[in-house]
Amino acid sequence: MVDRRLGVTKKLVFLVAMLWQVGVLAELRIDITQGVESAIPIAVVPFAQSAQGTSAEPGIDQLVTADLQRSGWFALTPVESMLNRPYKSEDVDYRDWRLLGAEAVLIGQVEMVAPDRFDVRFELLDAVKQQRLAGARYSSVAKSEMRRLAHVIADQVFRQLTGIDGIFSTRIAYVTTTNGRHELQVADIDGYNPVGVLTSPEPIMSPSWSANGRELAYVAFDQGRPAVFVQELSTGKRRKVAQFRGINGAPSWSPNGQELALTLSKDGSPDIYIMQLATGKLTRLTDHYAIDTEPAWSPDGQQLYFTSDRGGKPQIYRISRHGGATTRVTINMGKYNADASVSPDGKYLAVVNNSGQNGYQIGLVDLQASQLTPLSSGRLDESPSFSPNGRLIIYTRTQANSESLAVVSIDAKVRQQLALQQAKVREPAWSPFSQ
Amino acid sequence: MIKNLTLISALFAGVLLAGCSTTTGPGVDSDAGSTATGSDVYGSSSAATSGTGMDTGFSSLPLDSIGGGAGGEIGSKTIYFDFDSYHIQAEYQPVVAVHAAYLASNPTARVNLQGHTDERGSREYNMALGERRGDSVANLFLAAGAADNQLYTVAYGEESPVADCHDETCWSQNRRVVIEYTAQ
Repeated sequence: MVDRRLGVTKKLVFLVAMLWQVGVLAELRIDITQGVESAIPIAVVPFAQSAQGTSAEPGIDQLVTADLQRSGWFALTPVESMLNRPYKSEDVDYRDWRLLGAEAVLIGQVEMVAPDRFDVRFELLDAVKQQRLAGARYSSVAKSEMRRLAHVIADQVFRQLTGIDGIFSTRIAYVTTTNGRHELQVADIDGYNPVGVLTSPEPIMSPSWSANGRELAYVAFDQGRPAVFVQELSTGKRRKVAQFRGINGAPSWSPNGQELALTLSKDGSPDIYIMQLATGKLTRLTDHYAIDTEPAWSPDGQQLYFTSDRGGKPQIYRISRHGGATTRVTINMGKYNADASVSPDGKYLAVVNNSGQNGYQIGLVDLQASQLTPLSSGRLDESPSFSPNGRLIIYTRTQANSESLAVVSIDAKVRQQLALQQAKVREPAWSPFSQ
Repeated sequence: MIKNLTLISALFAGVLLAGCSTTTGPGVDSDAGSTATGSDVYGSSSAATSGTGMDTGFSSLPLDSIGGGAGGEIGSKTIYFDFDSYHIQAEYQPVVAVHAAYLASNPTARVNLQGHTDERGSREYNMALGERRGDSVANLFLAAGAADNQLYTVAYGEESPVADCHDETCWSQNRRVVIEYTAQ
């Protein structure tokens, strides 16, 4: 670990359009709107390339740089100021890097071993302690996999230097709307590689990832009526798991991957049910004449949070997965709280909050302290979803003529905006860590 | 009450635009997945005039001659609501009454009651609120003699707005129940 207290902390200047002018133009454009004030100084040395050819544009070091920069945790040493560009730890003179203020140095090499196949090697070095923190070698990586490998390396750098699992190789599911056409897409978290999963002239809603990240549950209209589907991402194969009379909505995958919590109104009023996915067997969890919807599991799978207007206005409640008494969670936190996303450690909820003025923002509920902190400042913010490392929340932001995705850290210090060109983009769901 | 059924027939506009939903895999888990096509392809429908779907086999009937009590063409089939409310205001009682009487005297008639909300608040809560609004209309129809099997509430929540702006001028138009005849 680099000791941050020993390092030079700098005020970061974030670049708005950094490395995306080359290569494939992504559909999602990411702008960093705010970063942390102190950051870990790191030098990412351009990786050595074999003479035969280049791996990809942008290169792995550029992609890692972009990931680290976007996270808001790092101050990147400008490449132009580097005195030399070593790619093996034996060649590193640590004084050079300390002179530049770098506490950590990432070096590496990309070698072409066959057409469109590359060996990749990296080392992460601690410039203060003069030792290697991490390193790995990857053999015969396909060109098409290089971007993904860069995110995997960035995850390891992030993990080593912050002690927190990186999320650069995770993905998001979201719904776009263009000219009345709805599309469920899955993309890398930096907005690249968007892939359409489902298109429909009718609404698509509420994507929810399975615990292993291989399937999505969502709501789509079939024959003019809403239904809940489960779809395997690799094959596109899907099945309809619920289309009862009335609402079939708000699917939420259980942590053990075996069950789906969902909202059905087949018995009169919208209530929460748990479905065993293997058998389709339904268990009714709530039975109230009010609206109960938007179930979200606690990480241990023992409790569910949900939205109910049983007290007059929508608020968040909690119930055991076995049913029984309900407990109101959002008390004295404004007149409207809905659509809870539970943090991976179970300590926080992200909710849609209306404090009574200025519309709807994303709020962070500290469950132990029973306090809500506003994290956003829009008028129509909605659909919060926690990152799998619990540090970030992605949500929908509606402004004058656009719906875009925004990311905010739970300490509200890092903000990013993901704008999709020529479409409305909404209902983001952050994937679990890839397995 | 409704004398001019021939007019309704003449206005029959049973155009079903065949929409097509397809699934494809992003291919993140396997090499083969990148070109895989989903096995489940279904046809759904969307009526050209309303932009909302209905059961295959039913057709959309513009019932401009029904519910004229509210005056405007759209007012005749649409009931508007206050924010976060599913209470039917007095001014829409005549619209409800006309449709209720028609349904009661025409047992083969069928309606979808499409419940919509404005964009504020969470999407799934708004689905539930949309259903509440549709059910409010359904309950008045039932009380006036319509049969349960004539009525089907379809919640759309905030997913199908008719007006696209972010203030009350649009919100008030979007908080609505649309009475859509699927059979006369």
